[in-house]
Amino acid sequence: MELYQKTAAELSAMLNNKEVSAVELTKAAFARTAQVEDKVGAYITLTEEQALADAAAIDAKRAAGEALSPLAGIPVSVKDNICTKGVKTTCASKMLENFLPPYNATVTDKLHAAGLIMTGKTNLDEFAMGSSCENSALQKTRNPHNLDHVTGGSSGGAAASVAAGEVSIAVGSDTGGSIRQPASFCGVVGMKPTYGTVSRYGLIAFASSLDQIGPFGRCVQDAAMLADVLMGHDKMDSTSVPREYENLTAAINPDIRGMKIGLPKEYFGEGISQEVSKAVLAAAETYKQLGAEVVEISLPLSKYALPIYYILSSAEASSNLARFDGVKYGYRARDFDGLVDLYVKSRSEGFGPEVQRRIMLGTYVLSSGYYDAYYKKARAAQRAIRADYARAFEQIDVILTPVAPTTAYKIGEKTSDPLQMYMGDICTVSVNIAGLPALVQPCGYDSAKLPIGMQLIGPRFGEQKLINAGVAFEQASGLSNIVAL
Amino acid sequence: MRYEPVIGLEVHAELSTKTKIFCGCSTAFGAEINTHVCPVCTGQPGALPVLNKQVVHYAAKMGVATHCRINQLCKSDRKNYFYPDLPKAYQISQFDVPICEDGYVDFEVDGEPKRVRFERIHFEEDAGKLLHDEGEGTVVDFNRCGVPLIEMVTKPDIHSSAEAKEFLETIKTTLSYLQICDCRMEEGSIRCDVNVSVRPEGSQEFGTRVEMKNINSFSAAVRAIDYEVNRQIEVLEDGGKIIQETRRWDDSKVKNLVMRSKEDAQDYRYFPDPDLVAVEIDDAWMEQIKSEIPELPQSRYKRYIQEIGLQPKEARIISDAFDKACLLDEGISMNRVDSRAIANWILSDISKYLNDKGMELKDTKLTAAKLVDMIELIEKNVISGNAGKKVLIQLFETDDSVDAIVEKLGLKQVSDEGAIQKLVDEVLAANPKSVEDYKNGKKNVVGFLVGQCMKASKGKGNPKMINQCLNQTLAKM
Amino acid sequence: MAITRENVEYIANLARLDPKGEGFDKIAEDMQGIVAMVDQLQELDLGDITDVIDTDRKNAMREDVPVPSYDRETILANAPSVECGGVSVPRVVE
Repeated sequence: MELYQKTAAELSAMLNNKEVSAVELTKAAFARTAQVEDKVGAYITLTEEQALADAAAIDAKRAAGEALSPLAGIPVSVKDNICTKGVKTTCASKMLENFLPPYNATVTDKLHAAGLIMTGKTNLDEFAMGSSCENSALQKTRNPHNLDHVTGGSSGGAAASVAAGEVSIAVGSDTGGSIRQPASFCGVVGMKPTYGTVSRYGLIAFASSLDQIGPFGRCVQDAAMLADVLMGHDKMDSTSVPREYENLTAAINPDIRGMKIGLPKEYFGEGISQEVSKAVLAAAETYKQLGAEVVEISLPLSKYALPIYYILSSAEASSNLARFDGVKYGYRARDFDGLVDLYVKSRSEGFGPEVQRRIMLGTYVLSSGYYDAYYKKARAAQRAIRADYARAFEQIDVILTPVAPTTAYKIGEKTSDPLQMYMGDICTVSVNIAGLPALVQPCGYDSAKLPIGMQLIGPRFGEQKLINAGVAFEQASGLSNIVAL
Repeated sequence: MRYEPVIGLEVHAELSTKTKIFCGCSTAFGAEINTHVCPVCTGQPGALPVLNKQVVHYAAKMGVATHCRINQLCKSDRKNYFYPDLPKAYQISQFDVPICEDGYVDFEVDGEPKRVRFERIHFEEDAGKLLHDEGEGTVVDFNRCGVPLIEMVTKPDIHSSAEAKEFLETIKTTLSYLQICDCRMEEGSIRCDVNVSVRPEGSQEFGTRVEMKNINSFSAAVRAIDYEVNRQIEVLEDGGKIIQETRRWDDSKVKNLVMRSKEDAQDYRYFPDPDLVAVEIDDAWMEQIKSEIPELPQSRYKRYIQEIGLQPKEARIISDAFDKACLLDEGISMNRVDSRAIANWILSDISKYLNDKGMELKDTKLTAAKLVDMIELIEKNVISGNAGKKVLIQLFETDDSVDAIVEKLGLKQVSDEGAIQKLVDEVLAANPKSVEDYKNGKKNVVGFLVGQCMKASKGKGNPKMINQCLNQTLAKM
Repeated sequence: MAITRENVEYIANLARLDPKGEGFDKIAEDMQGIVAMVDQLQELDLGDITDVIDTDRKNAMREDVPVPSYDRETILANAPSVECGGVSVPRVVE
């Protein structure tokens, strides 16, 4: 077995036993990347030189007998909307093509403090707006399971880097499914933690109230180990939750006998492909055999999740992205006539069409005369959806659903109709609206050998339940650590 | 026809916190361009705001001092618009739930009581400064971005520029009493926008409102209001109509020009800032805020007139200056000397010294206790009033006690009856002509003789005692 | 709610986007469909809606303690145009 095929947990053990050095691991990661990156295109920027220097520093610390965290010395890729001081952070946009952040995101500092080795910055849909990674203005990323298919998005580069074995773990972000849907499409594990449990400081905002950074891995334990590094209170982020963050990895317990799993009937109806439904229902059967109790539940407001999501996320985006005006950083139009023209041209030329669509929608729903009907109503509906979930979690421990209506579709298949693309988010957006944690992992393949994912949704701060249920399913199904290509 | 102006003010005051409203950068005025900056206040991608607790505290303090209802649960909202001095392209402010609502301040205009009601007070961040060079461009200084402001919005209760001026002075005095604003007008710590309309006298309806911006001093506010009121009256008299618009005041040209009309009124798309969480001022915090409100100028003003018998003008001078009022009240509370005497010293020599030196009380070493010590010595005839003036200078400039100063300068006056009698006898012996004149009915020679005695005592004789002794001795002759 | 060309221009102006820019017609056209989708929310009856302050989290505040600022050069490093120590823009006439 090659190093690139190993999980982070396995690599961690090897590092601990001095069977391998961080420098060797890092070299192996870049060797694998050199092998597959042409096909996959996961990265916008590679930081090999810095990575090797960081790895050498970790090796020196280990040699000196310093206490290191479990993931110290393990390569990790970082989504290119997370600020890395002095390393280009582009959001896959022409707008920020040459942007060198003057500071580190809190998670960047945390990764560094835990000794992880950043390999580079991964591709995404521009400003994380999209579900296929095709909206990147800078890079094409392909699904390692079938290069003609999309990776999903927006964290398509992160998912692909893990699926292709370029790294064992990756950091992504999820506003409406941007970790979970590409994890599903690429046959890897991805977790969107509870809103407020991972600092957003330095995450270039798409929709502040929905954005959440989270981990990717090829097994649930790896995702848990990375989550343990990422999660925690940060005083630089007012929405960060001050609480005791217990170590998820240490508390993994795959004995899920007696766990109550809800299957929301709204998630298995029209619009969801037969193959996907079947695979997720089969997973439910597996859980029954493992001693869990599976019950049908109802989340009646699910059908409104998509409009609520697109209203709230676009409204916030229209404001969050207003700062990109060609003045302080980023793209500035070459020719302009006066200040307003500078703004208009820089923004129209710097932003891609999807970003402009969302800014337009967001501006519209906040504008005078429409605020009450859209934004205010969506906020009220958001509260109703939260109440829906709260009611459900009075009876059950976790919810099991599909991640996306289909498996990874072909590149170019849905790009002409944005609405059709939005429909692909119906299974994931309500989790962000409600601020809940959710775990995605592979549960089978379709007839074209493309991975099918399933989603476990937990109550607020219920990450441990998700991890335990995820590990239990992994052990029973053997669907773990799938390296494509 | 006679017209009545209807005026509302929006006053912005910079709060005197050490750091900005959402980051730890300094708020100090006058720094070199773009040196008080960080990712947060320059709107770098990914940076997030964290609210300065002191801003909430100060804003609520102003609310309590102006009789507002404090919304103990409030939030922050985004006001969206593009401008180079606003790096995030939105200003974090408060929209539908401001921290304070429905207050008022009382003051006097030409001796008549006046009340102006507040619509609201909210906190928000200041914008940067645009610097215009000689060439084509405008350069942006972000140092002021994120300096905390409170915006105070009045109801249209003001009906003349004089009322506006007094209102602004009252706000300024209140801010300085609460110690939440430096009130340095030349640094723009207090700025205001003015809404003006006119209506026929006696009418209850409001006329069309014009907003005026760029008013940088209280006196400019007076000029701007007078100008705008006259302009509107002229338009109406000529049979024209007032257009709802925003006009920019140009104080150097003493006129205003249209900035934007109602048609291109901004659509600010306010919504709750998702990067910030609700602010809750619990009851314990409220109590703390209330306990920090000192007795306010209006109340002291009345007390000084009623209890000390000061003239309104005098009472105003002291009550307008928090430090002077504190000095007076601390002195009064010691209950050792005449309150009026303390006030007199503050109104005369103390004010003069501070004015001449361009200083504030806190820049000097004078304390209420020492001032009272000094006045007490005068009252007990230990030193003369004139000697007191010399002592006062030392009290401003040294740490010495009053006794030590009096000793050092040899200011103790001669109040020994025997010594005074000797002095008088000697002077009378040396001035037989004056004594003769006195006997002949020229009583006014006493003044001359007192002067001679003072001169003979080298200024240390107690003039009151000398006067008394002289009169008695002469009467017996 | 139907989106008119007038709406689109009004919104584009607020958002500082160019309604005459390349490909914008498609963006405007797509908005019709997207607005129709979000309009589904209108059928949801939530009774009288009052704006409420979200109190999930409260009082995330900092003390008034200074933190060192950044260097001017660091903050301005990404600016497309810098003059006299600040970002520069076409002359603004107030």
